[in-house]
Amino acid sequence: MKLFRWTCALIRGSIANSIVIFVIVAAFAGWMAFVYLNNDGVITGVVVDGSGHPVSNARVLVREKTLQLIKPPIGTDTNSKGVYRFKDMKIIEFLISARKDGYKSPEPVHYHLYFKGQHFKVPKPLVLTKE
Amino acid sequence: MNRKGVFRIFDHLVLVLVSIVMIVPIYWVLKTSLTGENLFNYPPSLIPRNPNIYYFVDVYYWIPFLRYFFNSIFVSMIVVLANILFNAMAAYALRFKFPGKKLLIVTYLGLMMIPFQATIIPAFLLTKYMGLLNSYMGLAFPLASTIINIFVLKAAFDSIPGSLFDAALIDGMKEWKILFQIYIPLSKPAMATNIILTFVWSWNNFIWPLIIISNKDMQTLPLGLSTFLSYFENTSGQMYAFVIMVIAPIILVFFMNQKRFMSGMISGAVKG
Repeated sequence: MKLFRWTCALIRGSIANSIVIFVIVAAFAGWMAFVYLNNDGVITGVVVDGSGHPVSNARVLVREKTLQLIKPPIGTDTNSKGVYRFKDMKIIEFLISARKDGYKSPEPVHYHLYFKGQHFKVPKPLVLTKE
Repeated sequence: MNRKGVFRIFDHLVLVLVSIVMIVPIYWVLKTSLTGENLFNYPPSLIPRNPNIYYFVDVYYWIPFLRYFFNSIFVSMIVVLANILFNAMAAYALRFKFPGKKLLIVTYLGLMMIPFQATIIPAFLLTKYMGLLNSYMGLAFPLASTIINIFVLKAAFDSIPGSLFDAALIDGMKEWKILFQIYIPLSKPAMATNIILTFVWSWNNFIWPLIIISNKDMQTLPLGLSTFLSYFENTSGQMYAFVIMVIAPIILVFFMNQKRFMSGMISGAVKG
């Protein structure tokens, strides 16, 4: 009972306020530190064909989306394993698509990141189907 | 069940209904900030579908949020400190009997009836002549002392026994020491009321910053919100996320001082 009363007093009193402020500041500082350590802006993923095999030399295009407009695309090519990799992408929202001659391009896929320059691995492969 | 019991249940039902009416708009803002759902969607969904924090991320990056946040905090701190100092001194002075005291109190009460909008032009000119346009001091200037808080503090000071004041004088304490070491520490609830009210007023102040601030870096959060709305259309999620980010500190300050705030308001009501 005494412990319960003490706990209630703690929650009501200024110690509780100090704890709340400390938790908020610590959470914010922790988040900023995490952002600082993970903002290399690398976006990676895989391009595959309809049967799930990697597609090499496919052109992958990323268009940054802002609240007002969609910016011109930035492109890179996939390697022999179908992997693409963008560097220094200081963006938070984008559309990604792939294209290659002889293949039908998929609809651009929309992703939103939690902070600018987030190291992001595109969860679903971009699928190119043969024409 | 007797008649008293029926009335009790009815009372509680009314209170629950009123509470729902008060809470629903805030819940709706919070829900929209997490889902971005259009306000006019039909049928409206009560439970958020696919909630996410992306709208908060957008707001953080598309406006200089931290800068506006700092400006708001800094100005509010100046206002709170100025109010504690000036209101306490004014309330302390009102404890004494002096010629024209009643007239002064009536003048204070009369000035409370004048809306701020009516005094904007002279206030602006004064601020301009003092060279405080586009400055933190200029932003804090009109709220540096508030009449209602003077009366809240006066009521708290009146409840402190005069014998304490006499004893302090006999012991050789200076007046400013009596104020800061006896009166203010004994009026914590009233001080908490002062702090919360002035913080909230300063935080929510929109018209005054709109008039005196032309430098984008000096904008406060409410002004930033209005700028944000004028730039972007059809951004329900971001707009509501911004609203949550603006009101969250006030709610936090209120909850942290809720108990003292309530007792300060009550003591003011009884003694005023």
